[in-house]
Amino acid sequence: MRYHDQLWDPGLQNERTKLSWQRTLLSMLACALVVARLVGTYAWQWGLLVAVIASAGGLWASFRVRMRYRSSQMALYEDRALPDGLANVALTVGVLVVGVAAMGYVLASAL
Amino acid sequence: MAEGLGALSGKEPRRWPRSVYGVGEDPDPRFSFANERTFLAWIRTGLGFLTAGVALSALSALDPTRGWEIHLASGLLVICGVLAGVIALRRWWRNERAMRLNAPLPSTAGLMLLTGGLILVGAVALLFLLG
Repeated sequence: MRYHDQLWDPGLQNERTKLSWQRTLLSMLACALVVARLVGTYAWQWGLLVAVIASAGGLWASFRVRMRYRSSQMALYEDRALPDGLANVALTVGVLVVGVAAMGYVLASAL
Repeated sequence: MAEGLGALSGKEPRRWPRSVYGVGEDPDPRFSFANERTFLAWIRTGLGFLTAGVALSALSALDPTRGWEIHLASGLLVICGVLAGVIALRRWWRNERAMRLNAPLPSTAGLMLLTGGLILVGAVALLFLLG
């Protein structure tokens, strides 16, 4: 599985994936902050907590995305393995957590 | 993230999940990258549903007499959002496995489920407008 000698630019796919990660993190941050703001109308402590966790998590995740891009670059040029699925699960868990908070808000405003 | 301890020593790292990376062999990296971007697109779709549901619930204050229909629609949208997130992971997992095994890519009922959810929300909105 050697790709260096073919007419194939390995940088673009990786870069597109990195940009996709950044878009997703941005959407995640925006959604979490909206939910935090609305949850905050009922209990400002919870709203603040969600907002702080989301912001700190987003910052950390954006650094990790850069590292992921760089390690993928090296892996492509050296024929090594690409990153695995741990980050994907973490992201899905994040969506679940925000979903629970969102449902909490919907129920609180319905009752 | 979680690049694997073996990356530094030069050996192939043990990657998680084993149910995906323990079978078959590495596909063309372009396909893996495309699969990952598809997963991220599903996640963004789910986040869009979540934001819509929550925003709709917040707007229900505009018409307090129509409370329950709006909150039902909001709840459905939030459920669709979480569902999309789960579908994202499942689809990524199944696609990566299929590519590693050189098997045909699996279909998914997820698209139909989500479309059904959207239609349901639209029906509730119609009910709200006509009632």
